Amino acid sequence: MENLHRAIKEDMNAALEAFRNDSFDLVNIYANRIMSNAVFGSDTKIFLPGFFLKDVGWTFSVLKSREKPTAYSTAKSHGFKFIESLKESLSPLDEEELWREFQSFNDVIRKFEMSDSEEGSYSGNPEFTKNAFVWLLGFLKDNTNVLFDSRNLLFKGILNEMNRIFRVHSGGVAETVLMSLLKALDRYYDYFRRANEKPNKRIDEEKVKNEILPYIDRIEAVYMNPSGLNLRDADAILWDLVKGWRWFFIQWMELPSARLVPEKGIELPPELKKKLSESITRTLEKEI
Amino acid sequence: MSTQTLLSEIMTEAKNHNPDASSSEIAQGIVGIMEREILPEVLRDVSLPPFPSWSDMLIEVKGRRIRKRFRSREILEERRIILQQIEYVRRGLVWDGTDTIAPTPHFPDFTSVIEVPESGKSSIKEIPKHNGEEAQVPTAEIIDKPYPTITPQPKLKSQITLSTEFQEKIITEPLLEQTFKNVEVGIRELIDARNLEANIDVSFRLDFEIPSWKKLVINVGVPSQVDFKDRMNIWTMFDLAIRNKITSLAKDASDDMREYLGNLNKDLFVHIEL
Repeated sequence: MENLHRAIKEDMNAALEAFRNDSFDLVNIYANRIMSNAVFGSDTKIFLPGFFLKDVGWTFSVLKSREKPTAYSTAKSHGFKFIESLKESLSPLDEEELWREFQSFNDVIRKFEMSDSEEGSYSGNPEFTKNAFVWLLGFLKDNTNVLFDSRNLLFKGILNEMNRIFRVHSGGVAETVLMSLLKALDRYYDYFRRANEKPNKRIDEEKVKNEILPYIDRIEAVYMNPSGLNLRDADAILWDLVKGWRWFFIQWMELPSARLVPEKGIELPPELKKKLSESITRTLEKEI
Repeated sequence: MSTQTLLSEIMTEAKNHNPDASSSEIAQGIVGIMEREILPEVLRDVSLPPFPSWSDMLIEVKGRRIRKRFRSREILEERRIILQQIEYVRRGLVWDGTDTIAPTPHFPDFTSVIEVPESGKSSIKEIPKHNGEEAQVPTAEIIDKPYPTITPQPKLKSQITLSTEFQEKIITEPLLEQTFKNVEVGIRELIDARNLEANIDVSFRLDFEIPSWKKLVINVGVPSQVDFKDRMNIWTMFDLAIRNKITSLAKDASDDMREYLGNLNKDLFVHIEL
């Protein structure tokens, strides 16, 4: 579908320009656009650059917004290289090469996400990451009943651990794939729970069993495959989830974000704060 | 208004504004407000008397030694300690009390600054913790990965732009990447601390006289209304910040790295349009 490739290439150009201007919110929007556009066609791989691009937008927006200065302009050198490679990968699309590039991008960028103390202390331990990911996958399998409760954050909790472990210990392509699949499942599940929530805050159990748990089994089968990682199987799961997620978006539009709201402290009226500040200043000046 | 009255007023207002809070929550809340909002303001606004001169201090010491009646002058020593402690906290707040953009003068006296004891240190700049780990706190809203809704962020007053050639070099030369990563953090720290408005462009340029010499130029662009004197000050600050970062990297570096940093330092130029 020639015109789809052209549309996605233009989305990619827009994303690159937004990235150049540090407009990472727009990078995120163009990434979503690529995935949505992919749904309109029959190419089951063309969404991949959009999926990876969304991660790039998020990573850089976090780096930029940190209170403590970060070297995000230096990090952007790697971002440019990766986005350029995504752009060039559109035709023909080599999924293995793309995943390798994505893993390598993540491995480089994680060092910019580390705090000074982390950077000086962790030397890279991908074997530990592998073991921890196997454990977390087992934990997920053992706790699927939590997914019936609409308030749960099980996927986010698992991903939070995985992100932290990958950031400090690094990981391989398989770990990058596993995190990506769970991320896609979590995005899908966020809509799914809204669509299937009952008045008692429970989610339709049958629906979870029929629609969510099979994804967990498929993801586990890909990661734990004794004969190694099969990227075609991984991409097939990812495509199903991305497609479902974009369908949900058409039905439900943007969902309210799960966010940590800073604890609201005691409030004092501004005039009183000013009075207090002036009073202390006067007393201090008198003292010294 | 007496302190007692003001305190009662604060308690009453706090209770009115937070009807569901317990007394201890209100007390903790007021302490929090004092630390986060009131005291930084006070420390910025308070006008400090002149620093006691060394001759006055010497007279005081001699007076202590020679005549008991000079004891009243010990007040100078106390004042010196208080002033130094206020300066110490101000520096912790990344503000040195001056309104100019000139580099912070390195007073010889700073070597004798009395460290504020651990228990007396302000918690104003304490780094928030999450599960015992240092939290990387975004200034925007905190949204947990992996469900990102990226909020548009205000455009920064200062931008650092690397040329394509320099970016390619960063990607292929780990030593340059490691060095420039630190230099960039140094530049950003300076921009934040001084609240500067500057556009930094980093690129390679060939030397006019020796065409084979490729220099690394960090160009500092400042708004056109900044006058010559301030431009010179800004240039000094950037040059110092950048070279200090390189020097501190060299401290614990291997011989190869030290040599690399030495060469980089020679090839690096900080420019500002005058």
